[in-house]
Amino acid sequence: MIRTPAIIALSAVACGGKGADENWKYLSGDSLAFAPQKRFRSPKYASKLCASFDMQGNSHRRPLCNWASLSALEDCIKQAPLTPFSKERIGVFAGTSVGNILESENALEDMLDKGDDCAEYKNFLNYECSSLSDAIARKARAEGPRFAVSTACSSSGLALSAACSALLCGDIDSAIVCGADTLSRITVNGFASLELLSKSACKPFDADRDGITLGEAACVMILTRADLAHKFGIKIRAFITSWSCTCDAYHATSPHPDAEGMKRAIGSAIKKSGLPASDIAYYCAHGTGTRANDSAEVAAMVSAWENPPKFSSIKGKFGHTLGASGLLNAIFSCEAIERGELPKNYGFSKRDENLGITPIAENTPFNANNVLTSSFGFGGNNSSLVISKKPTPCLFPEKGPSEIFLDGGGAVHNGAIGVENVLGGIGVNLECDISKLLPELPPIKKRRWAKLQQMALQSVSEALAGYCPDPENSCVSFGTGLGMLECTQRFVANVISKAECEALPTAFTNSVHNAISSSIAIRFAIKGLNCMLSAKELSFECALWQAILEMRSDGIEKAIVGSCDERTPLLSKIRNCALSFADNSIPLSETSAAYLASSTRSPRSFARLKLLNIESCRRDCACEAERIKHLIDNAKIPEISSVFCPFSYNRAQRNYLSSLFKALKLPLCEFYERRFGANYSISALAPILARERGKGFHLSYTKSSTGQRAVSIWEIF
Amino acid sequence: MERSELISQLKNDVIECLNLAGTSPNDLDENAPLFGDGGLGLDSIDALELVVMLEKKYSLTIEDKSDAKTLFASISSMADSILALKK
Repeated sequence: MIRTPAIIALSAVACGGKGADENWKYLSGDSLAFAPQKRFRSPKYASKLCASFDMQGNSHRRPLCNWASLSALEDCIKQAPLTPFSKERIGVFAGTSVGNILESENALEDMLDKGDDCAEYKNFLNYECSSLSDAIARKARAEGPRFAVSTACSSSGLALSAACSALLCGDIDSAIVCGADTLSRITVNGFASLELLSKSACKPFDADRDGITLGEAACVMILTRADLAHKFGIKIRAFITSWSCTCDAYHATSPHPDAEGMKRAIGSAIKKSGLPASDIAYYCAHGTGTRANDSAEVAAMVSAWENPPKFSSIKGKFGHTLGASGLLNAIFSCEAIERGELPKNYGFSKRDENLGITPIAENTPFNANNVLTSSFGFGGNNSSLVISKKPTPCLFPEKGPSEIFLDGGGAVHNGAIGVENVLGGIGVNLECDISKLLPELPPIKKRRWAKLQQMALQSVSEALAGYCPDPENSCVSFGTGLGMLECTQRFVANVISKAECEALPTAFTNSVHNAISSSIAIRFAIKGLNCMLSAKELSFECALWQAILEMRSDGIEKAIVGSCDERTPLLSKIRNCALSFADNSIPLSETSAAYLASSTRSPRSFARLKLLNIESCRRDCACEAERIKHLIDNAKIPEISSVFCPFSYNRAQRNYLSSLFKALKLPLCEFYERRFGANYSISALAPILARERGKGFHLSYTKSSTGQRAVSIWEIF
Repeated sequence: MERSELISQLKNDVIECLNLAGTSPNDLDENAPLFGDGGLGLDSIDALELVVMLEKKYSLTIEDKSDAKTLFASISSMADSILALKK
């Protein structure tokens, strides 16, 4: 039976309307919905054209990104109810570059105007990308693993790929993939500071193209595997035959001039599809309309196909919808196959001789089986997928390694640098001193890295201990609850207080979450998948899961995994009235911990991951105990020597956890919050703590403040 | 302002603007290329940062910012551009 991932529902809210139908009609029509934006006061860019969706119907004034995504989700559930799937087998994969940051900006603006209060703090926290995956899961009652990928403009391309890998590996039965971004002060001012906004409207692949037009979209897709769709009698819209994610490891914002990473993403998606390149008859381009993207993308197309197929970009109509653009492309690729028509490249009129090839200028009848679509993002982050009308046997290895080994670990925690100091408590009570990080590098190399990036790089450097992974056979999967919080806060506060006149490019490029993972890729030349994801307290566990999926589905041998979070003065204030993790008496801390993970055991290996399970925590303690017992029995763990959790939260939670471990007849749970304080990445210290305890099997149990929990069991050699 | 004085001031500005803490002005050769190989190895983002700094501090307006890279080949040529515009 064919196990290919299959699309069973799709929908989008975008400037063309609500639902795939309305947006397709707009895409193939002649009207253009670009207009000056009205989302926020913008003295400097008041007349800049943008592509906004209609927010009528948002009567409860919910955060815009979540509201539009939930509306698309509702439409999807009408097309394909989730009832055949058990709840804990439904995963949620969101992709967003800035999520609901517009609400955080509004909260910051109010704080600057009127002073701060608790309500504003709560609004500020809409900044968390994982609020999108949490909202989707709550609405869909999905209880499987969930996270939000945030890799700038390729976010939802990576989220969709992660969903496909998870389906293929059999970790879930159904995936809800969401891609959403709205206009915000940070993106408008940020892209303007990089001179990337078009003076009028974007003209992808045109000789006179001069930049992007920003757009908004919220897209949702529901997937399952072909065999399950047949079993449950669910209609399949299209198949995702292959997917591939790569990283240029070259520059923070510019694509590699020879399109090196794009070529690998497109080339490898074609190769994994098992189809001759000539069978892929349409390319739904990223086509942003910047000089650099479009010429690099054409170079990649020309290298992948002897005769490139018909191609077009939808951005002339929808603008660049940033983190949503990968999924929006996938939706229209699927629609094009179903409708037998290719959408014209709106905005193109003049052939660029330097490009040598031109997109389709008219809607064109289409009767072929396969299309390829791409999305590319900051940090040289590339994603390509082949979408097909008919299934082709999946060429991905059916079963890769299901266990992974850790070959090295590194950590920075507050002022403690290095695992030895972190465990020894040396510097733990001090502030992190950035001048002590990365002493091996000259200032010119470090100039653009803010504190959190340097903490992450320091921990990765320790984990690698001089080892250089094979660039194309390794990946980066890093977690973060709040990402580059300090840079983002500073950029937004600057833009608000200085009437948009002082937006600095570095501050903008550093504000995206994947500024962290891409600096790791650039520093250590890691050219496979480069994923940065956010899942509150479970960010590390989700990053670990993503790395395992990449190893199993793609045969990748090494992964750099870890998680990092920083503290800022604002976060400390917010924490007291709006953040729910840990007990409020526990001080806020900052941590980066990283590991070199390997698919095979080597003499360097110190640990083996025996079990990783991420699900919603069962409210009833007895049910949860039964579930965990089942997992431990299945993993054939002889005896568990220690159990630890990062947070004890409050009395009710403490009671729950102690009854849980008592019911399981496990050793007494140790909480390490007293030792390490609280932040979203604290559980990334778990493997190091397990090693500290010595040989045996150690169970790490992390619970998030939104009802998810992760159980991991580490075998220490 | 004397050209030499301007150059030493610009070295400090570049260090501050590009976050080169730990670099002394003496480490910067005013005639070395700022961009590309063989000098500081700056890139397009640094160019934009420098434009913002020069606009703010020296009231220099640069019409086509994509030209910044060629306009500011080195710290000396940056000083020359400022002096030329001040005349």
